[in-house]
Order: sequence, then C-alpha cells, then structure tokens
Amino acid sequence: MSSGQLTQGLPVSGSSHSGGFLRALSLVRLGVVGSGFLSLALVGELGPVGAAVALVAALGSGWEDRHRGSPDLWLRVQLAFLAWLAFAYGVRGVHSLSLLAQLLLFVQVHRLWSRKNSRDDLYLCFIAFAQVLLASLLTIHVAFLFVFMAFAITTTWCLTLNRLVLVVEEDWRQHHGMTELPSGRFRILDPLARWPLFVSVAALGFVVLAGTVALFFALPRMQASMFSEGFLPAIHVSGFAERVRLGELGAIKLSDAPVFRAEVKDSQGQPVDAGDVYWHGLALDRFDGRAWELSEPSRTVLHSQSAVGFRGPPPGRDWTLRQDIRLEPLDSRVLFHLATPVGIYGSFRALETIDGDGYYLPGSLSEKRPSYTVYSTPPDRDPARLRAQDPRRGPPELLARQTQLPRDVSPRLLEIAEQWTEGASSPLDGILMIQQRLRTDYVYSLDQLASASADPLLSFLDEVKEGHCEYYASSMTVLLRTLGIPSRLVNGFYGGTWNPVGRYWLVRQLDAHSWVEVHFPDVGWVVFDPTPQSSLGLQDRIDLRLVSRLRAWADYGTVLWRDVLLDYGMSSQVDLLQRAVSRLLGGDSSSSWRGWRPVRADDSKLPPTESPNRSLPWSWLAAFLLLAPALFLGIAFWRRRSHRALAPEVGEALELLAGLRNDWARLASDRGGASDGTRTLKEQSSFRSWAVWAEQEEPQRFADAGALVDGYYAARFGSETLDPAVLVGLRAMRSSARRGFSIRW
Amino acid sequence: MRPTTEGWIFLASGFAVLLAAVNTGNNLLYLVLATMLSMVALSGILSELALRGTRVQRRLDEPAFAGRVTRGRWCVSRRAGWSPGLALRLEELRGPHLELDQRAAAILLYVRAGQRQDLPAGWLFSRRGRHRLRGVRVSTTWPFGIFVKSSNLLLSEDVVVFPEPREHELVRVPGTTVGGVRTQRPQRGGDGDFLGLSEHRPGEDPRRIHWRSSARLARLVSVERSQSPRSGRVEVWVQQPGAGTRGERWMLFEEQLSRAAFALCEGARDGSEVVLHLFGHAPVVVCDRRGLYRSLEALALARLDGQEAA
Repeated sequence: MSSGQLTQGLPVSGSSHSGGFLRALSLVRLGVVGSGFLSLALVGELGPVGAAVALVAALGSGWEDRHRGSPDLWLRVQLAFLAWLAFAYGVRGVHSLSLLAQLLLFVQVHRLWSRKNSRDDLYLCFIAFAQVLLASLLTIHVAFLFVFMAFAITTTWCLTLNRLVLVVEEDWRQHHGMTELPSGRFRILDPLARWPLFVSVAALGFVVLAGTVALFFALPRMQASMFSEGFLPAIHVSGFAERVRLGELGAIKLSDAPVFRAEVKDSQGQPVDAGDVYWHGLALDRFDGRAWELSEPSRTVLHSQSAVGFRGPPPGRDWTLRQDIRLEPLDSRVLFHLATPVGIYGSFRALETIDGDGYYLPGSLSEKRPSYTVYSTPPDRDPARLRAQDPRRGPPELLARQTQLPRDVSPRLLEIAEQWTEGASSPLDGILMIQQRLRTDYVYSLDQLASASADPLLSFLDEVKEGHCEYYASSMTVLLRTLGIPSRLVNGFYGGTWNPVGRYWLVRQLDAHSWVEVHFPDVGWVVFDPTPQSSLGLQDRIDLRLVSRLRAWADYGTVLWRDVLLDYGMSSQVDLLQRAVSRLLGGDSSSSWRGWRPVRADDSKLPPTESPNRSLPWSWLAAFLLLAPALFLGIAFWRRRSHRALAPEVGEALELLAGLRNDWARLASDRGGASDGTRTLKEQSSFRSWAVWAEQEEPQRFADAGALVDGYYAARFGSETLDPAVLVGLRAMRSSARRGFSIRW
Repeated sequence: MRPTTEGWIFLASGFAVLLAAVNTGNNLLYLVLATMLSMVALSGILSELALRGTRVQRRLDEPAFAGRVTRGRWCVSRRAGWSPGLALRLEELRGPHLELDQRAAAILLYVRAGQRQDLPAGWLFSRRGRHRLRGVRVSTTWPFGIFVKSSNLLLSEDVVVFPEPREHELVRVPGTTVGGVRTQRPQRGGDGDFLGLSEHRPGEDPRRIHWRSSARLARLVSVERSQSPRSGRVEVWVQQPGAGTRGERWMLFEEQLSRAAFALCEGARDGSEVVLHLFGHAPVVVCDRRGLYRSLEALALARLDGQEAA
C-alpha cells in the first residue's frame, strides 16, 4: 500500500465541488456557529454590526473560492481590534465580560472566514462552546435552554461528521505528508451521506441530550457558592423603598415584567380566585407633601429554625388563605402577602417586621428568587361592626403616627374633607363617602399632570382631577387624616393574571397599585380603595384568547425552567432523596421532617433563638449517597476489568507468567545477561537462550516456549479455552525457575 | 483508552467548567458540564461498539523479503448486527526482531455490520529469519475524537522473511568465486534461435546433425542454435566466512546470503536450472517455484554457526 488507501482510484485534482457529505457538514457547522452567535445575542453582546459581520462570515464560509485574506491583512485587523478593545476598556469602561464576548465574536468570525481544513471545524466548535459558556454566566433567560440544546445537538453532529473527514485527511497525510488534501478526495465520503448515517448521527445528538438531563440531576451539588449573587441584575421595582416620591409607582405600571407568581388556596386546598385581591407590600405612614416614607420604623428581627422550607400550616392557628409565592429577582426586599399573615415560611433564616405587619428580608438575599408561603386570615369587614367603631379612638401612639400631615398642608384639604363627608352618620360612612367621591368624580390616567405643581395633591383634587392610583390613595389618606382618622398608604399589587396552564397567579409590574388602609381599634387595618374600579385589570380584557393562552404557556415554561433547572440545588436533591427514602420505607415525608418552627407575627415578642444548623449533616449525607453508588460502580468496573472473564485456570496462568517474568529477569541479571525489565515475558520467550533452556529441561513440552504464552493469550484475550498442557508447562517452568535453572546464556 | 490531543483540551475544559460550577453554584454551568460528561460517556460506549465484533485477517500476497515491502491486505469483517465499524485504524503489533513500516497500518472509514472489506497493506521487515506476527491493534477515535480506544486482536502468524536480494553481476566464468557465491552459466548447446551450421565434432549430440545438409555436403554438419533461456544453469555457493572478528564474519555472511538470494531469484526468473550449495546442507536443485522458496527459506534461516535460526 503506497498511497492513501481510502482515496485510491479517485481523481487527485478533482473539482472543488463538495459532495453531499460535505454539504451536510457545512450546514451542521453553520448550526454550531449560529448557536454560538445566538448565545451572544441572548446576552445582548451581538449588536447589529456584529450580527451583520457574523452573518456575512457564516454565509461566506461556504464559498470555497473566497479570498481568505493575507496574513498581513489579518494582522492589521487584529491589531486594530485589540486597540479598539483597549479603548473600550480603558476609556469607555466596558465590562470585561462584554469585552470577552466581543473578542470571542471576532475570533469566531476570523476563524470562520479563514477556515481551510476540517480541523478548523474543531476550533469553531470550541469557540462556540466558549460563547455558550459565557452566556451561561450572563443570563437566566429560558431562551438559553433552546440555544444550548441547539448547540449541543449541532456540536454532536459536527464532531461526528467531522471525525470521518479527519480520518480521510489522516489517511492522506499518512501517505503524502503534510500536503494539502485535494477537495475531490472527500468524494469518498459521499456514499456515506445517506439516511442511515444521518439518522444515526441525529439520534446521537438526542442521546447526548438525554444523558445531559440524567447527569444534570445526578451531579451532586456542593453549594460551595463563591459567586452566589452571580452577574444577574435585579429587576428594579420603584415604589417599594422606605421613601417613595408621589407618582413614582406609576412608572412601573408601564412595564409588564413579572414580579412574582403565587398559588392561592383556601384551607381545603382549593384554588382561590385572586383576581381582585390586594397584595400587601409596603405601608407608608409619613407624608411631607411630595413623598411618602416610613417614620422611625420599629423593626424587629425574627429568627427562624426553619431553614428548609415549610412543612405544614401554623399549628393552632386559624387561617383561610395559603399563598405560595415565588418572587422574581427584585431590588426590593419586601415580602408580598394577602390580608393579615399568621405564618410565613421560607428558606430564609430571619425576617424583619414593622409593627408585626410588613415583612422584609434583612441584609442581602441568600438566593436571587426567594420563595415562601404565607398563611393569612382576612380581616373582619362586617360593615355593622365597623360602623359601630370610631377609628379616632385608637391607641395614642398609633394616632400620633398615622394622622401625621405635612407642615404646610393646605386648609383647602380640610375644607374638601369636611365638604365630602358632610352628613355622614359614622366615621365609616365618612370614609366610604370620600372613597366614592374620588371614584366617581376623578379620571384615571397615568399622565402625571399634577406632579409639576407645588402642591400635587391639591392640584389633583382641585385642578387636574386626573391621576393614577397613588394620587387617589394619597388624597384619600390625607383627607382622612385631616379628619383625625388614622390611615396609611399601602403600595402593593392588585390582582394578577390567572395562568390556567400552571394554575397560579402571575403578578406583573403593571399590576402595581396603591390603596388606603384605615385602622379600626378592635379590627385592625381595613382596606379602602378610592381608585376607579374600571381602571383595574384592564390588561386582561384586551388580551385575545389565543395570545393569552400562548402567553400562559410561555410563562409556565419560564416557571418550569426556573423551578426545575435554575433553582435545582442540594436542597432539591436532599428533598428528592428524602421523598424517595420515605416512599421506600412507606413513611410520610412531611411528618418525618422535624425540627422546624415557623415564624409568626407574635414571635417578635420572643427572644431570638439560635437556630441549629440541620442542613449540614443532610448535605453530607446526600453527597455521600449520591457519590457512593458512583464509587461502588467505579470500583466494580475496575475489578471486573482487571479480572474480567478470568477462568480460574487462566488466572493461575496469569500469576505463573508474572512470577516467571520476575524470575527470568532476576536470573538473567545474576548471570550477567541483558536484563531488560521492560520486556514482556512474551518477548523474552522468543530469545534464543530461552529456547535452549526449554530444550534442555523439557524437550518434549517446551519445544517452543512462545507457544505457551500464545496459548495463554488465546485463552486470556481470545475465545479459546486454556490448554491444560499450557498450565502444566507453566507450573513446571515456574518450579524450575524457583530452583534456579541453568541457562546457557 | 487514552485521550487525543483534542480530548485533553476537552477534558481540561470540562474540569474548568466543573470548578466554575462548584464555585458559583450556577446550574447552567452544571448543564454544560452534564453535556460534556454525557459526550465522554457516549464516546466510550460508541467506540466500544465500533470495535466489538470486528474481525481481522491478515493476508500476505507475496513472499516476504527483508528490506522490501511485502504486499498484502487486511480483511476486516463485522459480525451481523446493527452496529457498523467506523473510523477504524489497524496496526500490526510490534514485537522483538520485528520492525514494521508504517505502511503496515491501515485506516478503514466504514464497514457495515455483517460485511467484509479488504484493505491493501504493506509489511516491511528489517531482517531475515522467522518472524512471528503477534496480532493487530484495532483502534478508533469515533465518534467525537476525544479518546482513542484500541483493542489488540490475537492474530499469531509465523512469517519466514527471506534475505534481502542484493543485486550484483552474475559471474559467467566457470569456477570463479565472488564473495563466497559462485555461479556458472554454460554458453552453448542451447535450443534457441537458429544461428547457422558448423562442422560436427566428435562427442557432440548426434541429434544436432542436420542430415539434409550433411548429405548435400557429404560431411556431417551440425545446427548451431543460440542458448535458450531455459537451458542455463546457475550454481549458487554459500560458504562459511573465513577468519575475522565475529562481526566481520557476520557481515560477510549476510552479504553472501543477500547475493545468493538475488542469484536464486534471478536464475529462477531466467528459467535457468539453479543449484544451491549451502554449507552444512546437501545441494538443492531449484526446478520450480516451490523449490525456489525452499531454497530461500534455507537462506533465511541459515546461521553463521551452521544452525537454523530460531
């Protein structure tokens, strides 16, 4: 064989026309490169210029006769690009990861355009891999999953098809040196370009995906998180800080970004219609005429021993609403809830509360998307009971705080309040009259026409008469306070969008809302909403049925993506393990998990307790249980590989041969012969001296010493059984060797 | 199984991703890592499938001479089933006294299950003697090129490698010895082309008398014909080298064997009757190809001290 055997008989200088195999490989290559570019686009690092350049390079790479550019030209381009990177980093202050993305884009385009042989495909795959890896650090968008799947599948295909091309190239180089392989040679691959190969390769990609899923869940999570905050920016939600400027809440109503998702159930476990509920967020009590704020908040830190989440309702407490809430990564630390909470459970170690009413996560968030469960009891809103009470006779401390007015409050506000409540028979009637007046006489608008005025509230009430919920709620609160009724403004969300696919309520930024709460001495805080009801829930009515259905599916996919994939961690593994063990043992997983104590509103009076760290033993146990099978399988595989299919006689032959080899080397060394320890017994057995010894000692049996080893090899690695004569011969040989046989060296 | 160069890069990248995933707790990195591990596992399984069920036979199509490529082929077959053999590389296992040229390696792109495919190959033995070919190493980098997986197939076969035929001028003068090899080639008495008539001399073969011309000339005239290719005779002598160091004697001996091999081959090619006089052996007359190979085998196994090579 003197020439490339695979390519014999084919024209050496054939046309550059590539066959079906190479066309398929080109398409797959484009898929790999495209998924890399898409991953950059996903994280916003592929602008219009970059996209255009990438598209030209990708499409041009299939043109064989393109001008690939001289090395000098590319050197200049590279230097110019590096200079641009330095400028962007030093002067414009571009983030280093963004620079890395640009660098990867440039390298990919360069490699794509100057691609010459099939080995370049490996570089393209590697650069695309780096791009996907970078995107995994910069995004949590569900689209990443699809981009990654496309990358994994196309890369599998590309590597597989490219392997066959590389075999042809290797065959050529083996016989022709490093000369460039004519493109016509690849036509040998065209007979392979049929559906059996493509189906097999396609299936391979999906098998890789299946293995990915299995390994993803099996890989033990150590939770040694060095960058738990990651690089993910939190979603800004205005209106939930300790100081909120009037009208600020209206800004977020222009966005439909999700804020949280909630499952609301009653005590029987049935879903509750939460379309017209008020998600309590932040209650503000101090108003200076232009902004609301918290006045000297009496915060209390609540400690919890529940580090693993809830396991049941609060013992000994009445509750009617259970809310399972999953927050988006927000820049606010407010926990939203319905009505009056009697128990809040979550993976957080501590909570802050203000007057046992509002709840906040203290310090930095341990996880980007906290989830928690709230058990609540709705307040008693019996009108007869409320009508019998006078809010102006509440606790003096509360009255002092919740009836505060701006220093330069206009007397006109008191005049309006008295005018609107004229004829009210009770405080409740007065409150309802103000609420009704605002609902009927004012127009809802997101335009903040009153904000330019020196007194925005007075401008809203007397002149503009247009505004959004914050103006309505602020006006009513101030009017009530002028009458001495303790009230406060609450920022939160109203209702939400029901997702029939995931059976949860999606609350978005456009659901942000402000309302009023009035304190009744024997009841507590009661909600009043002066905003016209026609302005609430508008977005749901204008959605088409199909569009809303598609949106529901998309949102549910996002939830699954986050629940199943993004938030999968060691606690999930422990939970799964615990459930599996409980199921195997026939026990109840919920009852077998003890040691938790809920955070309750009245726990603020209790001294903080030191929470025992119960997660550590479980984490180690989980890691051990996950690793132990892998370790066991590894050892078993190793042992099986070492002694695989070794019949007892073959094993004995192996030991005899190993001993003989050592004896042989020792004897050869003693007698001054060439003792090469690296030689195998098989090689030693072919020495002339071995044959001489064999002839002298056992002329009949050992006429050919190598035959013994051949017989052993045939039994050890072949399908033959070991000849008993071989074993007998080896035993005799070993016995002689121990006695120190004589060798005519 | 060992990683390729690209495989090392792949594994190093996987290790880096593992560190990053553990450090950051980023599940997307775990996803990437799971894919890489999945590819590694699949690579091991598919390469094993590509190798398992592959059977190889070695066929040498011509006698083996030292220093010359011996042409042959690998017959690769797959057992019936669904798994084809892909991207297979076949390589002769090296052993003692056996130096193989890289042309003994062959690459097979694809062989379908239940089918057989022949690959041309060449073997280059560096020394004469009896060589034992132990087996063949079948390896593959299929499917991703991350690992090279190989399997040694036992394919034991003894090959007698003849001495390298060293070309030299055959000495046509009877009784002359060159380097221990003496050749003799008679010039007359052939059965070839007609050259003319000559006076018949006593002792000549009476069958050569041309009777019609003898009757016309009234004396005995014989027909002269040129020597035919098959009417020659080559005698090859291989003797013990004379005095000298062991190394010098060995070199002279090998030189004799090479020249003798050439003379045997050349004589047989000319159709001459070839006689090998190897010391310690009875003369061997080479009449046919089998005899030629027997003679060459005797040369291949000849040893300086008179014994056959092991």
